[in-house]
Amino acid sequence: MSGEYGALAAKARAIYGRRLTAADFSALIRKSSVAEVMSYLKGTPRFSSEFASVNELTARRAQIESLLERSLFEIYGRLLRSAGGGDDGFPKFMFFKYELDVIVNVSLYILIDKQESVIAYLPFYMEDLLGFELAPLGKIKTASELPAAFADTDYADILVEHFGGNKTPKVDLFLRDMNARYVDKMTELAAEDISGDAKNEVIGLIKAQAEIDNLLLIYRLRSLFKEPSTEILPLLLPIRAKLPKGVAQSAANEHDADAKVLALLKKYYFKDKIVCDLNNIEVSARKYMRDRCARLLHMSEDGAAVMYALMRLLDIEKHNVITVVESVKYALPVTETEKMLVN
Amino acid sequence: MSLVSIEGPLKKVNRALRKCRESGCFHIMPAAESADSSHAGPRSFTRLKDRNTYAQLLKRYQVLASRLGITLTKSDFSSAENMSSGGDFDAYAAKVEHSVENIMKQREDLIADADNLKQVVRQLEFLEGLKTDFRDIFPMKTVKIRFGRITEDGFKKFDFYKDKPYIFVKFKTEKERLADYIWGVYFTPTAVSEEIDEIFRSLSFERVRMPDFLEGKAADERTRLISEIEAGNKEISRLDAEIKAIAGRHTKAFNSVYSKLESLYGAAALRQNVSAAGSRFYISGYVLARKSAEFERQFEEIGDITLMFVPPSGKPDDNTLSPPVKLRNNVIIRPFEMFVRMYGLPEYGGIDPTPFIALTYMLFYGIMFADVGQGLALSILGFILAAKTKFALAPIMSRIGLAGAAFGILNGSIFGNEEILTPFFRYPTVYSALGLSEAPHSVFSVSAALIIGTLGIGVVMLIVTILMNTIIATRRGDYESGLFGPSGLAGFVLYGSVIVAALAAVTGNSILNPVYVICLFLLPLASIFFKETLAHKMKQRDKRSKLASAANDRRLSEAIKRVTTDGAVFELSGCGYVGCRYGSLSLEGYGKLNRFSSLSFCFFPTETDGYRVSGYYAAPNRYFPSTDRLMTLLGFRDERSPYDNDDKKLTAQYEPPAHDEAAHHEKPPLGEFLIGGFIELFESGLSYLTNTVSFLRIGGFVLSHAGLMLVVAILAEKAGAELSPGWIVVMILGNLFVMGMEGFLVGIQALRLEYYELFSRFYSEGGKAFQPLTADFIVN
Repeated sequence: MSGEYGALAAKARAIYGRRLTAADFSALIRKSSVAEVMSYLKGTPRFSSEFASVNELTARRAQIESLLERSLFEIYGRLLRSAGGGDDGFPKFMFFKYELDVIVNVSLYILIDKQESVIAYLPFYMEDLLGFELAPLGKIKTASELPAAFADTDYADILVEHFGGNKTPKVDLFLRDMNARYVDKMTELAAEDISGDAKNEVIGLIKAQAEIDNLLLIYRLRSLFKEPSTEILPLLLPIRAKLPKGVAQSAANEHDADAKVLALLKKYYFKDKIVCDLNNIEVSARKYMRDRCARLLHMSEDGAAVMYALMRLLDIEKHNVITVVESVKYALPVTETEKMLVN
Repeated sequence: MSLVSIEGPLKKVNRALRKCRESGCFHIMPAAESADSSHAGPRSFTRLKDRNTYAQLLKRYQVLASRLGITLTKSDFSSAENMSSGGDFDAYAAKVEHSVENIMKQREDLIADADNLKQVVRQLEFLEGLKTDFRDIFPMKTVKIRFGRITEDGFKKFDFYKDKPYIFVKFKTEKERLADYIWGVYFTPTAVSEEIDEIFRSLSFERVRMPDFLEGKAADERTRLISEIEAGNKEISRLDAEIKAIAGRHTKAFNSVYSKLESLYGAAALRQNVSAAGSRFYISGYVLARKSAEFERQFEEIGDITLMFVPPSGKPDDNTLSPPVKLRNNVIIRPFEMFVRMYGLPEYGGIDPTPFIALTYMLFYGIMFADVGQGLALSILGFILAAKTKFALAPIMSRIGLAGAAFGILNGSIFGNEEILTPFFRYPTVYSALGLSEAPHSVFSVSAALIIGTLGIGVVMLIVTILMNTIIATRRGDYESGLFGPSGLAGFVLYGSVIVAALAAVTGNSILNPVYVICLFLLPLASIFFKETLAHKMKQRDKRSKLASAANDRRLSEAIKRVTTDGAVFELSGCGYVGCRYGSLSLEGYGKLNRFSSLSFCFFPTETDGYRVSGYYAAPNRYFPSTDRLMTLLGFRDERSPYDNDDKKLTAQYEPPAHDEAAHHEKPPLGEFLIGGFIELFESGLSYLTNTVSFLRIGGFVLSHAGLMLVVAILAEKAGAELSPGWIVVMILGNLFVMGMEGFLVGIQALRLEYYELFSRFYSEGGKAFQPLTADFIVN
């Protein structure tokens, strides 16, 4: 089926060709204000049309993030339309991502009693693509209303499990179940709809991301928050890619878990290709995914796989731009910002 | 090409650099520093790394020129010759700036005002739906009014706040790329304005602050402001004219001063290529040998500048200090240098393949594009483009077009018409030699002979290039390629004997016998198989003789009578007082010393550790700095002499270094050697075949040209009778199409033959281009 999307590959590569370059980021991090950053971005081929109407003098970080998100949505929509739209194959992978994002964000706002933030957040521009209506979400007041609001989604049972009845919701476990479902769904979709080497690579990417997320979670909770392993192990996604069975879990039990995580990442993922230490572990993880996605984008003949790689790469670019905006806003030294960029 | 070392007092370095720039024949080399700072002695060289003090001034002048509308042109700066310090240039710039200061200020204020007004006008455009006067809105105390825009996404969220005390009035929709903005104004009681403002902010409402000088309705105010902008623009135009008039008065003097400043800047920018030792500077580079004397004369007026010229030996293997390469060819073949540069320049002293490529390229192109009319048209187009533009291919087009026309005469084709001239295949001698009783109708009837003929061209070309490689590589000392390789003597014997045997077989004669096979097939094959081993043996012999030659400078040791290493001064028999320095040279640097045997210095080797040769070098005082410079370039390291106060050891006999490539020549395992050898043999055999067959494309294009023109002729006939308008149009368009497509393809295919089939057999690039400094503006 994915062969039908072969024509997408060229278009996706062309879009990636317009990405911000290392020289662009080098210039951006040397800007002295967010307005200058926006002004520069408006002059790039990548964002010239997207940001044309933005008033750089009044642009705020949240607005920029929203615009970047909207930009990705527009690109995705264009690619999907050129692939014929209406199909339920793998190219619709972003629907699950958008659904996941909306459900998680709305749930979190409700759980912390920020109903007004739900309204501000609701992305009406993508309403037509989602499996539920957005307007009723702005009227939700309590967590117990959430299962009904998302009853028609693939995540309904998880919402019932965590928010149904009078149980006190455990946010961490809710997020773990949501992410695990998302990874399962994506893996299933790729297995059904993509063939050949591209299938293995896409599934490998999805699982590798989940496994790396597990390792980074261990690193964060043990190294930064000094959490005991008993608190960490239940939060790990039940997914394994390259690591032998139980290795990630045993790393969480180690006294020097952070060093163990670093060693595992180096051994199974970064090898000698990505230089990494404990100070840049998360950036290195993104670099690793960037390299794999870029390879998939350039090497694969499967349109859906290339489209997936593109969206991942553009997401990394979005992350870079937000990093630049925040760094400029808080006047971080250029050398520090450079370390946080993946380019 | 001569290597020149320029030496002088540091305070004159900028003047010397200016002379280098203005000479137009000096290729500067990067500054050499002492190879290893840990070994640097008191006289070690350092590179000048100071800031270019003219950079800021130059930028200031450029900005000023841009503001005044002065076009910067290179001018005679004799009137500004006395200006040299930053203060001089600063003062002149300030004088010019002062003359336009007030006008520029007025102009900038007007532009700033106009920009502000334009912003307001743009915003008012979206508020045209507002029918109330601004003067009635601004004074309101109990109601807050906010103008601005909101995304459609945010607009949809107003429903959630229906019960809140505000009114939003929608004006006009701006269709944007990402978000469709809706312009409008909201009113809210002052008492709750903070809460409402917060809600609108959370919905990404972008507030636009309207200036308080607005009074009437939005549409009327917009019209009024547009008029004000136009009035302002008129005033700006008037000021521009005034500035232009003032600038006109300054232009000549300004360009003169700028040219002087640029000259100083350009010279100072070259300071990074200057070495310094103590209070002396050293510049190295290459000068065209025929311009050496003229170049030297330019420095006479500065005074106290010494130039030392060293002509490289010119041997093909002499890469001493890597002299740059300047190709020199006559005007006819010079355009083809472009193809050589694209492939890579030859090494200094190597063979310039431009004449070869010019001749063979015109031959291949001419045969493949053989049409008198089209060839002449291409040639004329080439001449016109060459005269009007700098298009590098244009001169080549003019020449290959003529070649096409010449072969077109042989081919009997004028714009595809083969009736006016007689094609070669209709000559009785030709067609009867091909065994035909009557003249063939078209070239297709003799296609087999044509194909064989082009194969013959290929064979001849390959033999020529193999012979060329045999000579060139052997001269270079590359025996592996020149004598024993597939493109060397062994290859020539093998390929030639195979061709002869094949010709004999085709003509019904068999010359294959055991002696022929063993001597002409197997021996060359064995040579190719064992080429590395054979070449290594020869190199060893060669190296032994070179080492012996290098060691001969020990004779100079006999001239040394007394040495004091601390004072670096000793008496040398017959030379008066000389300078002396102790240190070490790499074996490679030591091997190159004998190439400078004509210079007034000597190197006295004392010992070697197998990798470096330690010893003293000495030269008369006046040549000592230049010798220092040369030795540094050769990688000499200053070291403390182990023989201080022990001059007896200076007479120690120097032995040629024990370090030898032979000791490091690792033999591969037998299996690897055999497999590698057989694969290489197979590749060589295959390359003879593919390279030869590759020339078939020449014949192929002759046939394709005939085929394409046949199609054009048929289409023209269908368009109308001969010379009818339709026929003429089709013939013109058809010829243009064939010329464009075929001319392009043939050009690529001919170049492919040159690069892949011919160059790969005999040519080794690796030279760097001679790029003389110029006094042209380097920043403009």
